[in-house]
Amino acid sequence: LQFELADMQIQIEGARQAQHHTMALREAKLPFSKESAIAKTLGTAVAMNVTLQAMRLMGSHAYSSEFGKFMRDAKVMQIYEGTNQIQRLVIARSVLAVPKAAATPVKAGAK
Amino acid sequence: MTYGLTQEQIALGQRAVDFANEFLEPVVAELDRGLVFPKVLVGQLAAHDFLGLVTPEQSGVTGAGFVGHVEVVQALSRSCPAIASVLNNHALFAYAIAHWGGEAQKKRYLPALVKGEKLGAIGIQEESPTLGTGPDALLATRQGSGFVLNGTKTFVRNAGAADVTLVFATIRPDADNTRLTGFIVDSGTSGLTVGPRLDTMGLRACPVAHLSFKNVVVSAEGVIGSENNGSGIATQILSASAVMEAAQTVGIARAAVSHAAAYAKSRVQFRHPIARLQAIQTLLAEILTDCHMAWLGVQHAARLIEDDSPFEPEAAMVKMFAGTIGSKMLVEAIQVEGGMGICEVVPKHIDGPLPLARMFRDIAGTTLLDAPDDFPDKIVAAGIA
Repeated sequence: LQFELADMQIQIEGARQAQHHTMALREAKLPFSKESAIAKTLGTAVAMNVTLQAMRLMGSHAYSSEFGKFMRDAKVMQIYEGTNQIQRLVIARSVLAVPKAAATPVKAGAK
Repeated sequence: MTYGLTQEQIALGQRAVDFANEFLEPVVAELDRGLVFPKVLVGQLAAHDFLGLVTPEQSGVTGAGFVGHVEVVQALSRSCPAIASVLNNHALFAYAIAHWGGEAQKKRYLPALVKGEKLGAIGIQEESPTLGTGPDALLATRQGSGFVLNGTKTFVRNAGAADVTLVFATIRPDADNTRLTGFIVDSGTSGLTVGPRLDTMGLRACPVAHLSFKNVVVSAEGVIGSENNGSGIATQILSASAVMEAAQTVGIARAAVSHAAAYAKSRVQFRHPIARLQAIQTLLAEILTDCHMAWLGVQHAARLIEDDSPFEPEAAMVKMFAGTIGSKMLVEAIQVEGGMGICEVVPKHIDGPLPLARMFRDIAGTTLLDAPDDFPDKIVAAGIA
């Protein structure tokens, strides 16, 4: 049980750091669209996982309480402001994008 | 052990599919409001021979048995899992009477249970996770040849609608909390009160409430099995219940994946139906794979129960797996439908129902009720030599 709580905290902290990192990039006026998509996907996935895990821990009590609302709220977060699939497209594009420096390869041996 | 269903079992499953389409689909949204207990539907379940499947000798229905029962539960759950939950709890009571009840108890209850004249329920949980220890634990004291019950049973399904409930109590001062005794208590017995219906998030046609006992008198004939011998019975009921609930979980998820697949074929984005996208296909394929694996486990455990073989480790594995995949499957199915998936009310421009939000609440209820999630792990671990 303690490990489960620890796992939940690990996920939450990871998501929080991703968010802070994105905000720091934005404040420094650096590009942040990939990081923002990562923070959104990770954060909402964590919200969903942690809510479901917490509900499992609580069993019947979760079933007849405000947890139902948390569960549905967390689910909505994965969908709106660009579904997590759309966010993944953004992330994948930036991963696959040809880096500018390598865009004009220099022929080996050319002078 | 034979694999595959008999012709009778297949026919039984098909009857349940037809029943669900005819009687459940039209009323599922209304039932989800949870305002009234669907007593009429229980009568219809009886008329279609679904109430006595776990007691085949009594019901005489062809294809009856535990395997047939989970087949029916799975089919009904595609349309209305709450009704399947009502049926399951009724069936668990019948199962307990058939297995551990005396001849007089069988004679008194089984025919009425099969015909739907009596609805059964089971009360095991208490406020404290360890039965018999909390301040509200259900305790029995001797009075003449009978007993007096005092305390509370929590999260009893079919509460208020059931005519008879099997509860487990600790006899004081003879027994400690490791030795329970099962008592059959008829509704309307003086001192037995059903608490307010809990405002559950899902399975709303199946009422859940706490039962409180204040000097409820039960005669010695109300004891099931023998005194101080109920712990094993309670564990087996919970194990059988886990298999039934896993069948319910599979039914809900199969309905969800069918709906999400149909949606994905009609929803055009990036110039094509989204069903052509690998990301969507993967989501749907994973749900159906989880369903398939869970269903094999359910059928296997159901067969063991039907054959009177030991089934607790298998049932615990099924419960563990169903608990892990349960809500997750709906999280993914809803993701396929996006904003439409989370709608509780169908917007005007949409043709047809949007059941996924309701299914999400129902599947959470299905996997959350009963014992806490760690209970199956212990049983599985204990069975490893």
